[in-house]
Amino acid sequence: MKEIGYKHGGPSDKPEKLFDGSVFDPKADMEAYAASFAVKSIKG
Amino acid sequence: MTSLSTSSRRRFLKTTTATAALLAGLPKGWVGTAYADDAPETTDMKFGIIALTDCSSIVIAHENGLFKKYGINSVVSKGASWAAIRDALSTGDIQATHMLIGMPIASTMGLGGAPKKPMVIPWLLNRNGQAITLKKSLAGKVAADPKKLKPFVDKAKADGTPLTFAMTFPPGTHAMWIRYWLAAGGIHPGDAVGAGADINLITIPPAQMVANMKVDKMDGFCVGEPWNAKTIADEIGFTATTTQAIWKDHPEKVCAFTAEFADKNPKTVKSVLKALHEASVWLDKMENRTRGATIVGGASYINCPPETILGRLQGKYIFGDGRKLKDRRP
Repeated sequence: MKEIGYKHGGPSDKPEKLFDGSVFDPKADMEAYAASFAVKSIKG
Repeated sequence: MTSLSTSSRRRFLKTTTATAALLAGLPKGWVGTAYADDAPETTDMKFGIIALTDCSSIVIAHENGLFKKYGINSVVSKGASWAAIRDALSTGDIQATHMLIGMPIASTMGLGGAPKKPMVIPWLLNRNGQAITLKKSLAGKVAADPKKLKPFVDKAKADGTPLTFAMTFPPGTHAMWIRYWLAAGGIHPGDAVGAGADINLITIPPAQMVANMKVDKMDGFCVGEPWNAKTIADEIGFTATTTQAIWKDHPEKVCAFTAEFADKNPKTVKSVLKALHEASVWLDKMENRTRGATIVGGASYINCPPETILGRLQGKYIFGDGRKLKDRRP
């Protein structure tokens, strides 16, 4: 896929700080990350 | 000017006669330097847009004559809401449109309260450029972290007057951004019919967000620009967070066609994409953004002062609560 005007830096698995200050680390335990969400289901 | 000698004129006549004979054998649709094979099957196209900065590629392709360059006689038609745009595309009133990326998927699957209508999205119009706005009275108390909002949500719910948040269309990106942001703060956004919610979540067309916040109909919303910037200009709200801070470089708006139209008119679709490509290249240059903001800010498009549109197009974010940011990917 070609994107105009945007130089993609390639895949990155570096930890990333998100809007609420939490850190997402792609190399860390994904199950633990998912389980850390305050709301885990939108079922009523 | 050099005059042609008799022999030169003869040669010229022979050449042009031969060329005319060749041209006569060409299929209908030869246009200038384009071969008939490139000519669009449908030349009259009506494009739908919603009053948002990210409709710019379509508007610039129209205003800068790029659709015309590729054989399309374009008309740009502003829709009142995303549902109206979807229905106009489904019925064939418009042939291509600015759309939230989730909408063609929902229409193809028959979701979202309309008959199933397969659609295709061969062009991504933009990434990023949306935000979550909160009412002015929450400034200084809540910023990007939704956990700071939770006590206000809990108190309002306990008082029997839950806070109200708006997005632009249920299967759209703004619904996902606001739901994700609230949930990250432990605030339940509710299921598809609102069950289990800690707040009220309503649907409001983008251009009506500011007016609805002015009359105190909502406490926060998620929408594309320039309406978050306009809320700050009108001093009634502030930006809590941008959507690129939730998902860096996320996909946002697309140019959609019905699958039926695209199947019948592949050369038309190709011509539209060529024009959108050129418009996007033009818009991508920072030096063209002042002119771009002036064009799309016009009454028939976004109908918003260009200076309100321009700042965030240039990556200059003033949040309205004292925070500022120079965003490299606005």
